[in-house]
Amino acid sequence: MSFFLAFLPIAVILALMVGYRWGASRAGAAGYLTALVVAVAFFGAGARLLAYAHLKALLLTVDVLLIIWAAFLLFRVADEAGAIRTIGEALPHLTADRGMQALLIGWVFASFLQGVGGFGVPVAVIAPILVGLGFSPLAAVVIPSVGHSWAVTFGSLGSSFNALMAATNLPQEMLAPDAARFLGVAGVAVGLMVLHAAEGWGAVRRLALPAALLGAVMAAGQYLAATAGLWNVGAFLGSLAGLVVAIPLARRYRGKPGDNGRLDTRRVLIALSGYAVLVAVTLGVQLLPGVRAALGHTAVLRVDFPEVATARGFVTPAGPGRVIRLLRHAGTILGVSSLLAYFIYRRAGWYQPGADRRILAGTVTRVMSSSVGIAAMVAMAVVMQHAGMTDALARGLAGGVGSAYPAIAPWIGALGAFMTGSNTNSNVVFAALQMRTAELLGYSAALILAAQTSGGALGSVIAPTKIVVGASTGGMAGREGEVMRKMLAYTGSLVALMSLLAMAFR
Amino acid sequence: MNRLTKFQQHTAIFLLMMLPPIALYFAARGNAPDAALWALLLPVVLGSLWALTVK
Repeated sequence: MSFFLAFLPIAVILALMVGYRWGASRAGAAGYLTALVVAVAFFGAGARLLAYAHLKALLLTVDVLLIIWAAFLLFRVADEAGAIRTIGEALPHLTADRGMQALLIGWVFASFLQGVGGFGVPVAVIAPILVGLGFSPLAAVVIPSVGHSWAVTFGSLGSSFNALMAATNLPQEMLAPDAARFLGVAGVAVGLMVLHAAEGWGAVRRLALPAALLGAVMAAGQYLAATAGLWNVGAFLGSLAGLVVAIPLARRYRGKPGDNGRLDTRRVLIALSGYAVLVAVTLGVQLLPGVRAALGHTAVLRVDFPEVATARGFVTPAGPGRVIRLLRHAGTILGVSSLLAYFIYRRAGWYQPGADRRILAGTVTRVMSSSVGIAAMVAMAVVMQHAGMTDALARGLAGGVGSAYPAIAPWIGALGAFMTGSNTNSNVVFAALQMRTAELLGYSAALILAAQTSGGALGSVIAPTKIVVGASTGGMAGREGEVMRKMLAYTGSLVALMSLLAMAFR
Repeated sequence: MNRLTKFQQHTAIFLLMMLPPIALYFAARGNAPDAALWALLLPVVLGSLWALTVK
């Protein structure tokens, strides 16, 4: 009974978004209200518990929205300058084959951005580029969403994998090999799905070979980096290897170039400079220990919370909520990059009069609807965690399946990521539970945790918060249900693949 | 409500969802009675109900 009640808010969101095609702001609000009623009426959540849960949700919302707002700003800065259009016009010179374009931009480049960036950035940046290239808005959102999913655990400079280690107290040497193997297999499958999303089965048949080659190179790169102790740059190095191979490969599969005129290389380089600045600033902040430490110690938003318990005895221990280090936050990095990109484009004379106002107005107008959706979804997830509903869901899933548990483990990871919008949060919430259950049932903890984090990575891309980001930047705002429906088939297949792997290697 | 644009409505809803939790936290920290905490939670609930109506 507890399991079904705990599942109710998720069922409400899924039904409204997938079945009735509601937008995220309305469906999120319905999910939040359902969670609140169930938490109070059936799980014994009191006023004090909810008070603390709501501030934790606020901090998490701010954490997420800082990135989204700044990602929109960078997009508007580049778009207003005409940089997106310039990149779009240049790509057919490398390859006019739409399948190869999807692989190159929506898979390899998306994974690269996930390696150096974080939450939502690959989709927010790439969806508009694909729309500019002539892909349908739906495909433009789905392609990078699926495309970067395999790179989430070892992406964002390793934050999700770090959470896996922290939550289980197990070392990198034990966890990295299985996790990198699972995600490597997922990576190859992702390439084929990107082709399918772009142009259907015909493209899969035609470009399976280059996709398999690219997938193998990226998977091997990530595996070697992760197992060599460079887990924080695993996805970055894997996708970098992919980019190195992809460019000559794209020339091999050129397609039939139209009459695009002469390629203005200088103009393309200026257009790309906005994103080059993003990569440079990210690497500077994340990989230079002195800079990282200095920025991490100032302007820290941290709130300590006391222990709270429900009337049914579910305890949330005392501790800080989401600690936000403002100066090295991915949102700040994106914001600074936006500013630098703005100056570059302005110096190049790419802005028309009134551009500043249009950039700001365009950003504010488009982020507000998404912000409501995200605030509601995060509040729902945090209320569920504090009321013990998330715990009831995981226990119900684990207890009900016994020896088939390895097949269920990736789905638990995916569920956590779906609800919290993050592979990191899924690992924080479920990794310890997964490890304990693995020990009780006699399975390898490393294997089950690989299933957890790979499921979390792949499931995170269908989290409503991420769907909202992609839909907004790809011109699908208000049509999030369509994106969700399309994504469910791909993500479901990928998580099912992880289940098969876990069962095969148990 | 209908005289407000969608953007204005979403802005108001967003503020209703984001601001009360700050007061809630301090009230809980200050051992405010449960009734006061429920009252402070009310704007968040109302904001969510409002969000259901914005198509």
